[in-house]
Amino acid sequence: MKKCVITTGETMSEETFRLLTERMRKRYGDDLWFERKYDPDIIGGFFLDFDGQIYDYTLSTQLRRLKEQLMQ
Amino acid sequence: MAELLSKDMLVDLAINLLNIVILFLITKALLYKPVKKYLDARKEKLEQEKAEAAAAQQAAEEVRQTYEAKLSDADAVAAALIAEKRGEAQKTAGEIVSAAEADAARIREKAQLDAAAAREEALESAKAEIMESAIGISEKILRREVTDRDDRRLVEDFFSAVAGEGQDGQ
Repeated sequence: MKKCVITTGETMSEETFRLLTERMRKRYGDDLWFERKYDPDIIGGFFLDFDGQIYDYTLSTQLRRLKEQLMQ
Repeated sequence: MAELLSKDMLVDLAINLLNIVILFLITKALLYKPVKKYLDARKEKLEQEKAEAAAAQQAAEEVRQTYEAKLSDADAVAAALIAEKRGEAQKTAGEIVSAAEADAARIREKAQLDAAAAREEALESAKAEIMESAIGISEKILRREVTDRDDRRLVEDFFSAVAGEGQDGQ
């Protein structure tokens, strides 16, 4: 089975998390098991660590990129 | 009259005349030649001394002329040397002034560049502070305003990016 670690902030509900896991199984098959982690620094969105790749869909990262663009 | 010119008197006269002649001859022999010789020697000596004096005067005149020529040359050499050194001093002074002016220009330019760099650095620092403040405020607002609906939208964005709509389940 493939492990998928999802790290979220405090705002994501269980229903949204369940929607995420169901969409992952539809996409990559049922041979997945999920681990949820909480990070209080995350402002909206999630980190997804799956199959050797990390997907960053957090608003805090987008805010940081905006800051870097403005500082250039 | 005959008594005046007696025989004895004639003899006396002749003897006197003879004495005078003899005396003259003796004097000439004994005195005239030495005296003449002395006088000639003295004259010759005087002539020699006169010639030596003239030669000495001539030599002195030549020395004087030589000395005056050397003095004149020395004056000319000194004047040329003074002029040369004055020219060198003026040239050196000019070079020093030019170098000082160039240094002053470089210092002014560097000061202007430093001031511009300081202004730029201050502007960048102020910009960074403003950005930090803006981002900090934005972060606080986001933390307050972000909801589960925003999380759901991000989930949809993820699957739109990696899976594409309608391709779920492979």
